[in-house]
Amino acid sequence: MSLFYQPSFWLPALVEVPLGLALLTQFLRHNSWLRQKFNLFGTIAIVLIKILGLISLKYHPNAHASSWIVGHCSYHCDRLSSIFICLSIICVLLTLYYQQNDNNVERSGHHTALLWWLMALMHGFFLIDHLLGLFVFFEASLIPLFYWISAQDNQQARHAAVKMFLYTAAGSALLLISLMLLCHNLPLETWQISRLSQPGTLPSYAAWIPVGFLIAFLVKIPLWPLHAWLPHAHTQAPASASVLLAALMLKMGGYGMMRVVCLWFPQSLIALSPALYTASLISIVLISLIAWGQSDLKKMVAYSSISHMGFVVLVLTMTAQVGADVSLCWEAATMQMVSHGLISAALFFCVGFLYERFHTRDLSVYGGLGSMMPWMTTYMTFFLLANAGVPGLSGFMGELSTLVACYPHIPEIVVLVASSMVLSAMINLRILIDVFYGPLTGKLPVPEKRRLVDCRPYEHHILLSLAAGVLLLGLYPGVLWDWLAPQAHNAAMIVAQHHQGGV
Amino acid sequence: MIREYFATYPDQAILGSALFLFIFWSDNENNILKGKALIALMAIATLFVARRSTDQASLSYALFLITHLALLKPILAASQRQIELRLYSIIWALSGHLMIEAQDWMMLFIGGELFSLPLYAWFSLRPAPGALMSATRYFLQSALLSAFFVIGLALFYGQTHSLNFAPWDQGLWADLFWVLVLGWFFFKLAVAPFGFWVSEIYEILQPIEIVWLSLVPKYALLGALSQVAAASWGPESWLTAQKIILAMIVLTSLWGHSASWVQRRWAKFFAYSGQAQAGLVLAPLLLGAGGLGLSLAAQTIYALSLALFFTSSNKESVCYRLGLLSLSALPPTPFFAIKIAIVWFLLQSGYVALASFLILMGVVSLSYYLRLYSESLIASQATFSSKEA
Repeated sequence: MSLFYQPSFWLPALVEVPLGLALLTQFLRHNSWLRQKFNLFGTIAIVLIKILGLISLKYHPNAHASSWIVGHCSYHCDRLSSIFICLSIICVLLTLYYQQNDNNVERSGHHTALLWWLMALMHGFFLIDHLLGLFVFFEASLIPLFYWISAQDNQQARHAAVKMFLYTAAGSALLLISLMLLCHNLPLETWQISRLSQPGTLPSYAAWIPVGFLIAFLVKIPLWPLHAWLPHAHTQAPASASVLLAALMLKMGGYGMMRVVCLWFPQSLIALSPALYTASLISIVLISLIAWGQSDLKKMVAYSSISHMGFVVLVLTMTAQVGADVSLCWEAATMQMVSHGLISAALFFCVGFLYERFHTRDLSVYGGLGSMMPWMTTYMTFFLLANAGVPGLSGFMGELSTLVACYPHIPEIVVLVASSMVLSAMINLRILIDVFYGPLTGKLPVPEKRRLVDCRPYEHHILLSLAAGVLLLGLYPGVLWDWLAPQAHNAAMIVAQHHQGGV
Repeated sequence: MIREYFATYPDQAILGSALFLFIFWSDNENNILKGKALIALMAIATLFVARRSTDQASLSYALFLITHLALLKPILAASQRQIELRLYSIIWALSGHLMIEAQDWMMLFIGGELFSLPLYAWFSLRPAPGALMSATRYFLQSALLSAFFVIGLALFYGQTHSLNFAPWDQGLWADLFWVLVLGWFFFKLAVAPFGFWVSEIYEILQPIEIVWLSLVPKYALLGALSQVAAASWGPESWLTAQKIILAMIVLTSLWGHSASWVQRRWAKFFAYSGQAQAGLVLAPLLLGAGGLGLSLAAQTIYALSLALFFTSSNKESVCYRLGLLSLSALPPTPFFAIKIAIVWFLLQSGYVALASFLILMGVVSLSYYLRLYSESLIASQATFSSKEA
């Protein structure tokens, strides 16, 4: 039994079991019975492997293991990556569950395989311990979503998919140039992320190299003015793709920034901080205003998503400042990302459920659904309040900790950001009022009996699972912060060493 | 003479003999099995040769023959003029061998021209509108570049009194010689701005024939170029050749990528994107003959990705998507791997700006391949959706 606790078992399994399942479901795409069995098996296996991993990490904070498939490629898992792996497992499995149950979703083997592919690539990104591997997973994880969005039967969806890919690929090209120039004097075997994170191990580099890394991650987050691809992609993507895009893809940018930019180039981050603070502030305030002006429900949630990710950039820029509480910044950034992952996933699920019933996302058409769909109204109210940052829910903890971490150094910006949170509340309340309260507008498609069904069992399961996560982190944020504390402390030491050495 | 040939080039001789047998046996319906068995044998023999090749020429020739054979069967099956094509195949095999094994400029020239002659005939006899005109234009352009090549040879002979591959490093005339000679190579390799014939010729060919044209002659030419590089590039002429190759890489990448971006017809699109990829293929040659292996690998993977894309009839199929992903050089496809290897190779050699340029050009190529995928799902018959020329 102790074999299963060994990193050499569970760590490669987190990437390579989903990979195998992706191949299997691709081959079994015409046999839905067998495919469902494999999905069930895969779900149980992944959850078990993750639990084993968490138990193992509790006692040994860093796990390192070689890949089963590519011998010289290794994985590294610490407490930070394990949090994102948990988020990825939750979101992908809920999406899979949604796909299996929703009658309107195409349940072809291709789509199921794409989900497993995505999980494998995401896990690869969060776990790989090689710079080139990081790039490969960073870029390749776009492919399943690209196919997913472009598979919609309209031209706009294809354009949105291409736009999404090109924006992020342009950032990735800069990432590739930067990482190859940074390490071209080192043999490939020594491009280990865990090793290069130690101060003094990085080779000398040109001043613009960190900019390449930073832009790649900022495009993915996305931060104003690199955000233009996201609203377009969200509006054209099916609900499940939107969930994965918001809950996971954006986190890759934040994770990359934490893992690479903050720990390797704190001096560059200091130099760029005026620009980053300005961009974050604009991202939070201006994008909230843009969200307020939207009439498309999904676009509002998408813009609100960009605005919330602005908090992450703000607090991560703070990590590099001399005298900043790096541990707190790390914990705040992680909380904000996890919280945003859960809340945005839930909101996109809800928008998808509504769209499936009424085939419209136009806010002016909706109204008065509260009386017809009490459960949906309850869930949506809960998640919109969480999104607005109401105390007791995870969104509040993420935003509060961010502002607390930043206040001692940039009080003016924090005051501006805090006042802009009123905007966030206005947006979320507007959605709530326009969709669920007031009288019926009469513009909705004729409500047939089938469409008037409130939440179906699988919708309850999905939304309840996410609500439990939001509530847990809102009431007991220590669950996440205590888990992350050793890692955050370690990051603080690395940044301090950078400052002392003037690296 | 035959005995001498076998003694000098045993591997090539065995492969060449098998090729002859294959070409004359495989057309007979009763001998299809023999034909297939021969292909398998050829594949094994070529792999064997490739594994134990100690020199670049053997490797080039092995790759040249195996791809020629592998692609010949479907080309023959689709052709209405099987007898002529079989004859051409033999000439191509022989002239390819001449080019790769040439030790002097005249043999190289004869090999190259011998290779081109059946191409003129083949193109002009294609049952496609405008085939004759396209072939004539190709012939005239080729003749012009051949004339330049001969002028270059005259300069070389006037200076060295020999046509053997040998370094010639003296001054402006030597530089002019390299420009004229490399121009001939670049024309045959379809590198911009010498690759103007490709878009026209691709329009009259079938997809599998395009794959053949984008692969087989290039093996022979790259093999020949490596021979030239090994024997003739002295310290100064090496610098001249490097500058010319560098300029060609930048030019062909810029031209190929921009032209591909605006194309709406698949044949022209692949003609220009092929020119763009030629920049990547040429890049390892900046380091001389030692880079040939990487060039050959890049060319092979590009053409195989093209073949994967062309041979899948269903746009939703895995092969179609995989081919397109590989052409776009997205990770973790083989073309991505070879691209990274080339970039790495360039960085190690100090070509930092060129490596960055090639990576950025990759984004442009990604944009038009994605557009191709996106539009091929919805476009009309006249555009990308049609694979019929």
